[in-house]
Amino acid sequence: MDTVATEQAIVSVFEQIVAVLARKADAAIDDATLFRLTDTLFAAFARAGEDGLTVEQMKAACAAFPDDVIENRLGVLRRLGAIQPAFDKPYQREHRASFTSYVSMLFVQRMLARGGQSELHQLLTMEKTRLEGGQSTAEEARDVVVGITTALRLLVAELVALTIGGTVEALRERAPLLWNAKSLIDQASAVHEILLEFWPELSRLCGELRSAIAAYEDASTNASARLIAAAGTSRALNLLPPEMWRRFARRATVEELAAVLADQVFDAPSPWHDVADLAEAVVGRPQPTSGRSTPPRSRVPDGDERPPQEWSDAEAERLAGIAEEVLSGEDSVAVEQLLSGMDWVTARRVLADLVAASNNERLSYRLTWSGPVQVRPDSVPSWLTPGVFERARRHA
Amino acid sequence: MSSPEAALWWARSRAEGPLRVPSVTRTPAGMLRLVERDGEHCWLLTRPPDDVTPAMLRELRMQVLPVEFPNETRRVLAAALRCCWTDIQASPWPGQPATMREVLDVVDQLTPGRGEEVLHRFGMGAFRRLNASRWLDIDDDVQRVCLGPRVATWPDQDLPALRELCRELPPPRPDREPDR
Amino acid sequence: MSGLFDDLLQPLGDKQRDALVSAWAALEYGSEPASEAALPALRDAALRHLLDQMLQRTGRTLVRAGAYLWTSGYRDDIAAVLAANGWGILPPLERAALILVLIHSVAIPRAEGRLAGDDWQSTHPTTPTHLRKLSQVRGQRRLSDALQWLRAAGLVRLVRGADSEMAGASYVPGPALRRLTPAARKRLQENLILAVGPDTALATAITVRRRLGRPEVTTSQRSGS
Repeated sequence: MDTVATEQAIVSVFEQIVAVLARKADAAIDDATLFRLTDTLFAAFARAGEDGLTVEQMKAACAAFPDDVIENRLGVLRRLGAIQPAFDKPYQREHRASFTSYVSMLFVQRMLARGGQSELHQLLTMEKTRLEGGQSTAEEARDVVVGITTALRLLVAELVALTIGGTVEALRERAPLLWNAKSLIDQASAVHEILLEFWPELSRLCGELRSAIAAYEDASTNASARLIAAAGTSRALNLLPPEMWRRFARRATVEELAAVLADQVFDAPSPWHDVADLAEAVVGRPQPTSGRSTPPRSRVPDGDERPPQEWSDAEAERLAGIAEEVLSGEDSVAVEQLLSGMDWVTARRVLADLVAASNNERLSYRLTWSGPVQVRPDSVPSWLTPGVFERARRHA
Repeated sequence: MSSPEAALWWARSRAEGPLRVPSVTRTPAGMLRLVERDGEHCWLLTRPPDDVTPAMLRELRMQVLPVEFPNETRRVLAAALRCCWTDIQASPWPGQPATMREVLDVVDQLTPGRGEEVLHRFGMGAFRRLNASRWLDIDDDVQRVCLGPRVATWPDQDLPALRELCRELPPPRPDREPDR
Repeated sequence: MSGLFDDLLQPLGDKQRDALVSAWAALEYGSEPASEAALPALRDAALRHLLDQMLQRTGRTLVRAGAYLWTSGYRDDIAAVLAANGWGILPPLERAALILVLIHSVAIPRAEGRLAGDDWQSTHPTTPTHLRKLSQVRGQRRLSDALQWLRAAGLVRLVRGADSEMAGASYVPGPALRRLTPAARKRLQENLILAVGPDTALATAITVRRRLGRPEVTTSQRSGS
């Protein structure tokens, strides 16, 4: 379900981007596969260098896609000039790919990620640089103020419609539009200042730009408020992109990190030492397994002073936790049922822990296998023996 | 019986552990007051309903937060109890001061043959943890060990078992460096 | 007897009294939330109300931790007073390390769509590389002590990590975070967004709402920047 929705979202951006150039309504690609195919093909052209590629080579480069899809795609790309004969000669077999087409593809990919807000941002930066000296013509300046105002108004209209009438899910998908709001506003305001300074005759249009900026500020704040209100107590975290989180985690000082928790009260550790536990620690003195110490180990962080026997206490505790989580209240669980849907790395780790829990003599769990190994090439894990993880009854 | 003030004292004690305040402080509702030897300060401890302790969780088959290095820590606590709880018919708190050497010597007798360095390293770690959680009150500078206010949270019905435990433990050996 | 709970407990029969005290212990001492299935005083609405009254008297409150699961936490009004006095606030390095664990184990997996649910628990480990290499807490002399404190307080939990690059343990958020009330969890989420994305419209929305919500409170937290 999810992948279908994602594909549709991607295709919808393609359509919106080509719409202004399309001659017919069904002219845009309607399948994200076609986009990936083009990407693969252009990469092959880049590897081939000045020699170019023959049609056969192009097909070989895209062999992962169905034949008829490749055929059709090559036809369209050739007709629109994204792929052209390498030299203007009759019977030319080698082709080259258009640099312009590829660059536009890179832009499309960027738009996919952020919905165009950062492109608007960059556009503003470029316009600001261009206008700063006051050397542009009044005509150029007018185009800039009209273009930015129109873009902001459309952005506002979209945000308002989603905030008032859209589902939270639809709004959440447009969260990237909210990421750089403050700097977008700052940039637009800076361009506005320059326009007003050098081209006072544009004051009426500048007034419209001002109100568009203010409207964007309101609309993005309201949209954010709705998203946060709907996000419960921790789900709003997904409204910011992973790279923003990583950058903060990496660069924030201890003080900046600590400030986040400056108003949270937590419990002081208050370990309990029961009389029975004291007695056990004392009489268990010459441990039956190994009373003698191991030589001091080299210092490793955190676990540094953990003696082996106590390590096994903690290990047993950890395994018991995992076992109980896996059993979730039941007395037994089928291994197959347990591992289905897990990726292989996790499945292997869980299995290793269950084996360890089963072998740990302090714990009463048992992992038993029955029947022959089944090989299932397309599943995770790709082999499986029918098995059961269960609570072992202590013999009375 | 209940008051906003009491709620704040209880919550603060949960957030910071047993609270050490000047003796003039009025005892908040439902709290236990332990006056220090010098009489100037006292500890405030919360008194749970029916003096229920975390030991109850064993009956409920629930977990408390695990103690790190539980055996090492508990051996040191037991040894400190052996050294500091001199009047065994009275309550353990406040007891008498002992030295770190004495406490470690008892631990040494419980786990013979570990070598001085291991004994010292584990012992210091346990002292630090027990001091942080106020089971012991340690003065590093003069190597002094006292029982901390938390020992007063052992309910009266546990005292016979604690006395028994102390009787079983060897006393510190006089003027003897820990086993090497 | 000058117990804080006497007037609440005295009218009860032995059985109910025991049920109430057991449930109180389970909530206040347990490392994990308590289940209604195991504790009659949590199942029965009248007893649960009494239980909440007991907790309220000590500055605590019942906190729902999932279906049929309960724990206890600080009352929001009490927590505000404690925080304003700096009582129960972790030292900076401990807070910094905990926030890194929350970012790597909860925020990033959520932003990448790998973590569902709406609490601060996670199975995605924060590795020693995250803590000791890719952050500004790296090289802090006290870091091991800080992590030990966080472990003892149940704020982080040790997991066997798959970090081949660096020695040291991996962590996930600990069970003590489940004691945060909904308001406290929400504040944590908002503080994180304010810190990580101060230039986003989301941060603006939070600031605006806070300004409208409590105009007269001048908390000592977070000096403006």
